[in-house]
Amino acid sequence: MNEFKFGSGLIASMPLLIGTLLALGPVVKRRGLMFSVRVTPEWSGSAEAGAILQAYRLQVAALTISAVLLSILGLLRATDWAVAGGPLILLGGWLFAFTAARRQTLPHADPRPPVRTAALVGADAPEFNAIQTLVPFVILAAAGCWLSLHWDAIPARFPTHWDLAGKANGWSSRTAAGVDGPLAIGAFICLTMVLSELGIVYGSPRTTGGGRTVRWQTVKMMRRMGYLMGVMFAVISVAPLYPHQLRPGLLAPAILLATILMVVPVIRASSAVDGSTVEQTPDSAWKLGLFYYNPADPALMVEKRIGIGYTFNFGNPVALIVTVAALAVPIVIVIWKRFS
Amino acid sequence: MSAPPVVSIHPESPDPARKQIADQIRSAIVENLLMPGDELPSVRRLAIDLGVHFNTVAESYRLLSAEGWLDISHGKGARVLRRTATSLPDDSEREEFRQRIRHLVAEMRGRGMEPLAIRGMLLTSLEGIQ
Repeated sequence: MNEFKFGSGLIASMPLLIGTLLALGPVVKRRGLMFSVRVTPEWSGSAEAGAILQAYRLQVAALTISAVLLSILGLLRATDWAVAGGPLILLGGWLFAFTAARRQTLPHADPRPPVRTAALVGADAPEFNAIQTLVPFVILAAAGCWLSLHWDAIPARFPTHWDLAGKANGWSSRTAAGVDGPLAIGAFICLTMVLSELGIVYGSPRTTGGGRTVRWQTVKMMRRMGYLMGVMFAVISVAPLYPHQLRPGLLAPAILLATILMVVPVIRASSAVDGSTVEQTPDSAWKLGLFYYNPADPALMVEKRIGIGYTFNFGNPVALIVTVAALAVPIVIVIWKRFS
Repeated sequence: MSAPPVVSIHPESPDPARKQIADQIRSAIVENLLMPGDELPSVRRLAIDLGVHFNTVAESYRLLSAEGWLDISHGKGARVLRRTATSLPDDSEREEFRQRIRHLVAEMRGRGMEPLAIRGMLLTSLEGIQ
């Protein structure tokens, strides 16, 4: 089995992985929340809650099977749209299943308003570490220097994209944009990681108890993700120099494995946390259970209610500016590439 | 190391958020949970932690500063002061304190608490007061 077959198998199993996460999401999430709604432990253990959860999981299971079948079909017939369609159908269907379950859960929301608690301490270690956040940029800069030193050894034309059979179908040339482009994209992604870390450290509520551990595990995860992105884009950029050693089919599983290893500590911390010490935001501020909009809350970021990590408070003007800017950069690049 | 003192905002409380914050910090200082020299979170930090407007926390800090509990002069955070003796409450202020305790005891009795339990609670509240 070559790495492309391995990579294809991985692509086909992606809907299964996503489906499993979506099915378990509401319960993997910390205690006291169900379908992004604050509920009492009594109700979340009731038969009614169990029935809602079971119906949701059945829907996700059906969607997952459909998505896996579509992906396998796409791989067998080498049809890219079918491969990409599997996860899309799964995510689209999931949104319907989730909102339906949330609608059924909302009438059972905990009637007691959330009590926000904060520790009366000035500093809260570990703080933002500027030197550590520079590491991925140093890796990318080193890759850029290496490419400059070996510029003549870079092929005049080299593959940058492969089809499911492992045949190159996208090419780039030995130009500044073609060679250094991945480094620039990597630097942009690493910068968003650093900004996210800053947003969590300085713009999110410091929770007390177990919630504090979750917050710092998330900051650590963001930092490690930055390292991973730095290494990944450095490897991609120098790959034309080493076509036999650095094969793209091996990169995807390595990144997936590294990502899982980084996410596990956050999931473990989230699962262990006591429901009474989690960050308390009002249910009414969670639009669709996914987007937090609360102009009365000065926080820039808050912990997600579904999944792991943090999300913007879209009621904060800074969040809107950052979101628009982050969306504008790739759009401008695509338009520029199309018309240049 | 013991857990740091905390402050909570109860949305159902009849007291506004700024009073809740000031009352709890004052209590923490009186009960020696916060010591002279301790640094409190900055206004921005505590506002984000509690999900209230920056002005709400700033008002609480200003009130405690006016009472002599906090030093907010350096403009960053707030530092607990070694409070020097202040003027004792006059008769009318003493009467107001007495009425507040009376109302609190009546409320506790109204919720079914026995006099002995109320007495124990009041004595516990006095423990650790400097």
